[in-house]
Amino acid sequence: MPGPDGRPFVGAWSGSTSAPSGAARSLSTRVSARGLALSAAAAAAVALGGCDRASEPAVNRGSVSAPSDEESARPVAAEVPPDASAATDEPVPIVGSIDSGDRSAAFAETPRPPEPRGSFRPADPRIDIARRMIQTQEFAVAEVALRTVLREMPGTAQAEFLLGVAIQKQKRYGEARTHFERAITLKQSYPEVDHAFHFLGWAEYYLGDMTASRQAFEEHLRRVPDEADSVFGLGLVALEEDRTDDAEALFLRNLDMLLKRGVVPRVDVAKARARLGDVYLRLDRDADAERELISAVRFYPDAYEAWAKLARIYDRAGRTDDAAEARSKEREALRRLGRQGPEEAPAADGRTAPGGAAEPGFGAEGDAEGASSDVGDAAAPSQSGAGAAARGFVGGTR
Amino acid sequence: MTRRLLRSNVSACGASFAAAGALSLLLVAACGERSPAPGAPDGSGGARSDGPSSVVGAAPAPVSENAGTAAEQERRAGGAVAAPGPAALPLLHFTDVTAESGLIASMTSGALPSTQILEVKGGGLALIDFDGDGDFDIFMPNGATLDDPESGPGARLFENLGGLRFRDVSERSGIDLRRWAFGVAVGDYDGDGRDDLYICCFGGDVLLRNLGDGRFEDVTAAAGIDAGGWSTSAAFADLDGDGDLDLYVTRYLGFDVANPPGPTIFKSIPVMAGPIGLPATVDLLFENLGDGTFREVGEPAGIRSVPASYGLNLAILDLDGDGRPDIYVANDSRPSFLFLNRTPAADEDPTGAVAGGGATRLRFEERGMASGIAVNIEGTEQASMGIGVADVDGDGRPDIFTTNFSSDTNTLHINGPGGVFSDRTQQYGLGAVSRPYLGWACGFFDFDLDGDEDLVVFNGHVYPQASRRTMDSDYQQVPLLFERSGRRFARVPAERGGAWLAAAHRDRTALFADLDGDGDIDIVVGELNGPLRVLRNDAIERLRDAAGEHGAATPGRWLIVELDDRGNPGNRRGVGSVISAAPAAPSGANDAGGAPAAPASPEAVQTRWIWGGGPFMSNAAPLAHFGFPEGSSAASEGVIVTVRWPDGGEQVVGPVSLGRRLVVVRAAAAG
Repeated sequence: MPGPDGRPFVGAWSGSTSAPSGAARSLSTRVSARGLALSAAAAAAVALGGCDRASEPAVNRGSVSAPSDEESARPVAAEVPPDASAATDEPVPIVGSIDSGDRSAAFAETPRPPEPRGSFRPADPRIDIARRMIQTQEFAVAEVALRTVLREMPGTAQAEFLLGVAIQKQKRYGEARTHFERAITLKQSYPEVDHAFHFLGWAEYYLGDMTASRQAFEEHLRRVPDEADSVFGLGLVALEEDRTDDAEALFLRNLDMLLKRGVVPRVDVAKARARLGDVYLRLDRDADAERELISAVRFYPDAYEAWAKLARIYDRAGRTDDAAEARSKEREALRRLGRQGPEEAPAADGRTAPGGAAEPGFGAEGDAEGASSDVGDAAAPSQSGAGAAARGFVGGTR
Repeated sequence: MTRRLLRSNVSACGASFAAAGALSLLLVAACGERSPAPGAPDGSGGARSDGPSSVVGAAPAPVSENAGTAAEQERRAGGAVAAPGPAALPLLHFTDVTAESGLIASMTSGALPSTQILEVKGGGLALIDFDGDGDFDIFMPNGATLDDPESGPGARLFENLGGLRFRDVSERSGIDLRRWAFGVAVGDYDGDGRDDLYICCFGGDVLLRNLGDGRFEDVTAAAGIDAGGWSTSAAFADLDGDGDLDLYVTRYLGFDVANPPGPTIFKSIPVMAGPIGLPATVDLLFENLGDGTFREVGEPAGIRSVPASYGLNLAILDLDGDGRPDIYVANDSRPSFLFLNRTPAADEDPTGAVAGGGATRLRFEERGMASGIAVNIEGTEQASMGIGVADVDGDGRPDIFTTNFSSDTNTLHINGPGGVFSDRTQQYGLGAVSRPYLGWACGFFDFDLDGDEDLVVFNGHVYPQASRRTMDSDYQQVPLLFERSGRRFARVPAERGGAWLAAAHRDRTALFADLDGDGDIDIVVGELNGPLRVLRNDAIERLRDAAGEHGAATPGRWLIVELDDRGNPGNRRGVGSVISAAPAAPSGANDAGGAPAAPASPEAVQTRWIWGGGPFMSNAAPLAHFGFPEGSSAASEGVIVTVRWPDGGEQVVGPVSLGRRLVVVRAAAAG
């Protein structure tokens, strides 16, 4: 999918996806007309491109290794999801169940742009400027600029959308939601129109409305089927709703979609791996969880939550030395991100909000939402060096 | 009504003892409605099923020579276990009865809108049977304002008159506490049989001794208590097993009223500062010396092996299953502490090597991070205000629920094998729903008497600037009521649970107890700079209504168990005990030939803890409340109650019939 600047993203959706057969079966009752099937060719292509699970070096107790910073910052070419060998051509849904408050009908009434990027001109040049501000993480400034535009040109959908993004990046999800909804219901064409659903999905997620979040992500995928991050979002919703089979399938599918892009930021792979680890932790499959979490920290050693979860696994297993080492890695990761570890003494470090975890995991899935559907590189979670993502790039939602 | 009933009972009954050798059973009719009589499983003679009748403790219970079932008893008593009709109203329902309760008081904590962190925690509440009449009265310590933190409107004491009516007896109580107060602990620190009060304050804590005539005396200095700064919560428990109640005090941060910190930024909005950036203060551990005095032993006991933190609340109970009470400290914005009790028994230290030279035996090891309870699943510290204790997964271990900041979620830590906790918040449906709320007091109780514990959380933001638009969270917030529904908790809407669920407040503290003696759990809620609210649980009333429609009598879906360790007056209420209840095996399954009573199945066992600490700056009632679902065999076969006393001694009682308050008096040789 092209970015808002018209620059194509590396890799493309192949029209295929995968899921382990068991998980796919659990989902198959909700398959929609947009259900996708994994082609054998696609699976093979993925397999050829990456280091499958068997090729990963065995992890010894207490000797979890991680790539260097340089290594972790590099995009990876591809990686096979752990159960790729079990992938079948069973369909996986794009559209899930719709609960009360179904907004899919309203969503469907919105137009189906985007227009060709080259031909699109914003209603006001300041919109483009604001977009660039968002890309450089000047969210508050962008907010002011976009509010100005909207005061002068009310009803400009693209400005509403970008204003929503600027606000969302400042963690004000309720307000952002309002602007995304306006951007959608104005029924105007602009390059990012479909992605308003994606951002809306994250806003709803962080506001705690799983039904609305699911609907928004599903609508986004209906419009932009290759959006891996919306699949990831659906996985988190499934976790929240304790649909572990669904969550597993969605995270695997997310991985598959990422890897099919050919070049993918390590952090995105790490996120998916870490969330698979969550699924297995939930299911008390500690060995599987350990495998996924180790994979996550190998891809992205700053994944401090993954280190923390590894420590939990080791604690549960009585592997105290390993647990201590994992916690040490967690602290190191936090330091690299400019944060303090949870065991370290407090300091006047600028984290002045009560409940230091008051916004846990911001910068996580929801904050950085969406690699490809983001408005610009700076906001993408895949920028592992971006300090803005800092605390919680992997986690954020439990 | 309750009070009248109990007082008449006191006069009508006497305690009777029966000893039988070294392993004698101590059967005590403790203020029951009638003396033990043959024909009832517990010897209660088929006491009324709907009253708060104290009955009999026994250990181990000789199972019912003439037992008969609970249902048979109910029939003998003219009662029956009622089944609600098809049109019965939902039992999970509360009604705000504040106006007619007489509990008219407003909590002061600074001014509105709050401008400093000192103002936003609110104050606590306490359940205390100050007059020894068997029901819980209510104490409100109350706060003050920034312009004069030593001279607030003053603490209030309310006597429970029964029927959810209260009377302000503050004046004659002699309590003249006007200092800015926060949490409260209740315990009989001097073992004189009367509940005393420890009050956490800003500027120096206060210990009030209950004189027994309705008055209290400030004995802070005489008792050796010296706790300046800002204390938030406290709890009594016998931490060293010597039979008296020790005391743990959580403290928050250093705050200078004369030089308050400037604002900071939260979600792009200037707000009051703290706690991060303000100096944390260490907690205090007071060992009870048994002579009416305490000494602070935090350092040698290992409490200060960790950095000072922002302590807000605590729970004292045996969390690792070793029979000793541990201390869980909920810290704001920092990892919570879990101090595992490593105190050697007195007979393990015969030479005094540990406690040599008069040093304390108390020893604790901080294992918060290693146990997994210090942080959430992401390894992230949380705000950690309210604490709920329950066996959520039914494995007999106490799980810990904490309430947290907005945009975060509340957290349920499931206690697993090996003393390792796992954050299972999402799994139980308690995560996303709490994101818009900033939670405070909470409690697990079987509000609707269906055999599983539900959950209520009271909410309210600390920032007056908070709104859905600006902070994704309103300043005034509605409570959250969850019904346990299979593996998950499901939020109960106001249209089903009552209008109180739709009323937004700045709630902070709460108390949970059967305040009207009808067998279900009522609630008193304390709001920041707002009036107390009394929420009546309508479950029993609705069961009665339904039973009436069907010609049946009183419902027997509940059991309240209180403890009375008369041989150990320092911890008579058994803080630190574990109480379980399960339907008895069908008649005949337990041979009457002296075999111990047994529950019908391990799966049916419900477990409760008499724990130190409370929902938030308040105390947990020292009792265990059980509900049993419609159709439970408990109604026909009675219930086996098992008590594990704080020293590990076990006592089995039953079968006992439902619909009563059971006082288990410790057997002479239990354990």
